[in-house]
Amino acid sequence: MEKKHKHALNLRTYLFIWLALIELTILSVAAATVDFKAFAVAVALIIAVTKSYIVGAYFMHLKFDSKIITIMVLVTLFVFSTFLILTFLDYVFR
Amino acid sequence: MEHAIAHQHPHRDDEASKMGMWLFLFTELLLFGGLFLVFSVYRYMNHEAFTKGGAELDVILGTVNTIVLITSSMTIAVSIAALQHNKVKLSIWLMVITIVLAGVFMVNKYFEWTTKIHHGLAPGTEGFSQLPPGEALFFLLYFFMTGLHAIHVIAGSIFIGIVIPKVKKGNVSHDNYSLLENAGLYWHLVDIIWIFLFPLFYLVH
Repeated sequence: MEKKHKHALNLRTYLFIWLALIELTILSVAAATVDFKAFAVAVALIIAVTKSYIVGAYFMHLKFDSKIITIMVLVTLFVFSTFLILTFLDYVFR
Repeated sequence: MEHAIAHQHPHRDDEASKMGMWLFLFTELLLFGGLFLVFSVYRYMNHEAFTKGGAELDVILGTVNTIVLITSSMTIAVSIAALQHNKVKLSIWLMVITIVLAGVFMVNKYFEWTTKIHHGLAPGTEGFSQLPPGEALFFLLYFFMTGLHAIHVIAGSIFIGIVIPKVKKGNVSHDNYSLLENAGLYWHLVDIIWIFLFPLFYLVH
C-alpha cells in the first residue's frame, strides 16, 4: 500500500506546476501581440505542447506511472501526427 | 459495498483500470485530433478569413477560461493526492471546487456564445448566411469544436460528481482511488483539449 503513495506529489509541487501553466498561458497571450508572421502558429503550438507536456507528466502522473502508458501515449501521438503530416503533404503539394 | 476495500477484492486491477481509461482517452484524442486536422487544413486554405474570424473572438474571456480550466485541473490533481493521504474531507472539497470552476467555465462560455449568436455568427442565423464562405467555415468550426468541448466539460463534471458520494461512503478511499484517478485523467484531457483550442481559435491571427 505504501508503495502506491510514492506517486503522490506534495501540495507545493502542484502549486508550482499550476503557476508554470498560468505563466505559459500569459506568455502565449503576450506572444500573440507580437507579429511572428509565418511562425505565429508554430509559436502558439510550441507553448501549447509545452503546457500539455506539463499536464500529462505531472497532473496525469505519466512521469510516475508505469512506462507502458507513456509508450501507449507516444504511439497514439505518432499515429495522429502521421495523419496530420500525410494530409498536409497532400494539400500543400496538390 | 460499504466495506469494499482492497483485501476483499483480490481481482481488482488498478493498473488495468487506468490503462482502460487511457485507451478511452486515446479515442477522445483522435476525435478532437480529426477536428483539429479539419481546422488546420481549412485554415491553410482560407488564411485571411480565419484571421478575420479569430479577431472577432474575445481574447480576455478566452484567457480567463483557460486560467479557470488550468486551476480546476490543479484542484482535481490535489484532490487525488489528498485522498491518497486519507484526507477525505479535503479531497471532497477540492472535487466540489473543481465542479464549481467547471460551472464558471460554462457560464463564461454561455455569455461568449450568446454574444456571437446576437452578432449573427452562429450557423443557421440570418447573419451567418451572409458571411463570406471562409468566415462561415471558421464560425462553424468554432461553434462545433467549442460546443463539443463544452459537452466534455459537462461530462467531466458529472463523472467527478458521481465520485463524490462514493468517496463520502468510503467506496473510493485512500487504498482504492482508481475511480477518482480516472475521473481526474478525463478532466485533464478536457483541459489539454482547451489548451490547444484556445491559441488556435483566439490567439493566432
